[in-house]
Amino acid sequence: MTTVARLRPLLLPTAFAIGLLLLWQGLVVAFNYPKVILPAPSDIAAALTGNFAVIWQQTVPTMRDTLAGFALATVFGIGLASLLSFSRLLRDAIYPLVVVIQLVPKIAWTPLFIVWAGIGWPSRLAIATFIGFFPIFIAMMAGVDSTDRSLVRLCRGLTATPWRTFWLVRLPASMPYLFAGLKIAITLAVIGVIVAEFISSSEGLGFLILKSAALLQTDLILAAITMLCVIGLACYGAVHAGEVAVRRWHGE
Amino acid sequence: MTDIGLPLRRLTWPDFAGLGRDGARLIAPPLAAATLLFGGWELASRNGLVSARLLPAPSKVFDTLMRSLSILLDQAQPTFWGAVAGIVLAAALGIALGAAVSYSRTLMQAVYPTIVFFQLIPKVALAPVFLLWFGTGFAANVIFSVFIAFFPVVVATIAGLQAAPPNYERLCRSLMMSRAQMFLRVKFPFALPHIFSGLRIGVTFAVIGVVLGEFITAQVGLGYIILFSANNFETALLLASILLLCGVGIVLFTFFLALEAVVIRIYDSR
Amino acid sequence: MNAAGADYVIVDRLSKVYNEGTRQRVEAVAPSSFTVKAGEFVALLGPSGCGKSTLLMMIAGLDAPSAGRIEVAGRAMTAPRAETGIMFQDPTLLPWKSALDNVLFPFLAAQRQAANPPVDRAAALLDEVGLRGFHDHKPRQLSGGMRQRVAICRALVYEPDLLLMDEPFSALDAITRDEMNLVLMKMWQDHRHTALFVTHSIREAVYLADRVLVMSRRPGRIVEDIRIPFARPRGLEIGETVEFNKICGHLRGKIEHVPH
Repeated sequence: MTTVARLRPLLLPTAFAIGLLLLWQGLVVAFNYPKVILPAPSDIAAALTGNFAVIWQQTVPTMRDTLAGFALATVFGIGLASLLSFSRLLRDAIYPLVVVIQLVPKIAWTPLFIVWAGIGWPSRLAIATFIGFFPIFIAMMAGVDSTDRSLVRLCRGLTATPWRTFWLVRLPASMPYLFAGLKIAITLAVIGVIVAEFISSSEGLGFLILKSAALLQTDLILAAITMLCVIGLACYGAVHAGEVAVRRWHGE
Repeated sequence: MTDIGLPLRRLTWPDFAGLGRDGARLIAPPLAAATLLFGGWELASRNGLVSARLLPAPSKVFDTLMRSLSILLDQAQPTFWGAVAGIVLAAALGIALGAAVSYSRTLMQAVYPTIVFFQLIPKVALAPVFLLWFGTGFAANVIFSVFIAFFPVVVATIAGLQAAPPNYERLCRSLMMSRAQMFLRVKFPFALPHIFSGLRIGVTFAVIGVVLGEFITAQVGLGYIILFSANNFETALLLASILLLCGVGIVLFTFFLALEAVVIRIYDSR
Repeated sequence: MNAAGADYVIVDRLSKVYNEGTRQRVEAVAPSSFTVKAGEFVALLGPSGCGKSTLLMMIAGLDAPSAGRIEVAGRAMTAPRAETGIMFQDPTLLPWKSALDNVLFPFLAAQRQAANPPVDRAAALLDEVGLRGFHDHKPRQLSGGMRQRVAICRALVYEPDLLLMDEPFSALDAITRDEMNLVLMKMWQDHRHTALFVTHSIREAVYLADRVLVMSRRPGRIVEDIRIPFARPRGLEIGETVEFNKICGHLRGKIEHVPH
């Protein structure tokens, strides 16, 4: 293959994305859109660099709450799924309930957490944990369930205890599934924190976005959102890298 | 926002058909657990173990729900219809765009990463911008709802249209089928399960989109009631409206589950 | 090596019925009795779905019998015993562990002398089955036959007194299968465990075993028990002898015309 052919999957989307941005810039300049309605990409870039200190200052709390909530959700999700893998009865009792809750729009519960935990960071941590928990739990459960049954039978044949079977087989076997859940959970955790910041907060990128909206500083809104996309994608990328590592460990 | 690779256990109709036979075995444990949970909550709330202001007893929530039912149902209307409009438009746009993009390999290669990018970024953060652009009415909420429900549908459609095993494509070519025929008779049926799994994610997002719009503009809808009661510490009303919103979500979700069963049955019977 | 001559495995009127008392009642194994002497290689031959695997799983302690009794090494079987080596139809390797670590897995799983797993013995076994240079490969990097070789080593590494094999080569292609038969034969001759081998291949049974038991279609029962006279070591070429083919023909007749 030629170099161009090999780079095609990279070049094409990059060209498309750059084209989109250029089109946006061109339209705004050509029709002289007011900056309040639709700032051009160059305006957003200027807002981002010009207000970087402010934006970064608000990025820190958002990132902190997201990562802490994600970490707690991971602990709880793996913990409960592992616990249920040991007891058929517990599993039959709790799993269907979690699946039903999984279906409802949980972000709408954010105000409830603010009532419970106040308008400070604990409520944002709680909401991130809450909505991050479900995909992790369900993915982990699916992983534990779909462990190759013959591997479990092998362990029984080798007189392994249920605990050792879990530790040596079920847990490592469910890692690829777990990471599929973690990827969803990290994006949801960011969303949870942002929504909580929208509703009531005096810090974070969500707060900055809403404050800029009130002041009609659309370029600052989009600059803050750009920052949010960067940290969101960075978190996602980190989890994705973990997934790749796990799959490699599984010999794929 | 959501990877469609989520190994969700799919609830399919045979599961429900088996309910008659295995009903007791399937239903009894979660029912018992739920009873235990709500019973404990009720007792804890009545005995003052938890503050009734923070967590009113289930009976109180139910009572509030019943007393305010007409108001709540009134407020549920814009939320429900907004979400319906959101998911229907998102489905139509998403499937159409997904199909169009899949028509050419080059187009797909160019556009797909951008779509995945939008799928992954926290789009809810754009809600204030949408309201700036489209005002603060029902239509603005629907547009935002379409915006966030659209991406899971497109991604699933594109992924689904590539799901047909390569031998089927070779078979179609050897049978001299046209591209359109191949699309309609082979690729689309193979894509259906994927599309529906995208729609199931999309429907939850559509509800979230509308509610989020209601949170921010705070004029009508269940989102408004939820925020209003939170601000006034009316926790019973808050829980009652969340319950109703969950009802809205589950109704829509179940509808798509039923639609999936029907559509797949139609395709199977041909 | 076991003391030759004594009955090592005793299966006494063993049967298995699924869904007893319902309309879906299925008799998988009709009451069957047989014995395996210490150091003997016995093949259990039967058509697909005749219950021979169920029978083996009961002897492994992985499936509970509906009636009857199993005795291994003078003790009644109720649960899996640590001294039995098992091979399944699929290699059942842990995908995230190297070939060597998979062979050592039994020591991890049951904490048999977990303090110092016999790495040298495991490595030697892998070399013996022809996997020198593949010790650090993960299962997905190995071919089907190589994976089953790893599984053989894993079943032998803790020097079991009884080796139970459930159609271990049925998923392999014919050429690989012949190779695996040679490997198994060699390993068995070197280690001389009492072995019970389930298969639906007549030629495989005759080639490998000292004795062949034939099981009928469901509900499975033992309809034939013959001794295979060939001297060991056996090469693949005995498959072309008249006597070999006569025995195969006899067994085929037994499978096809089982009295019900």
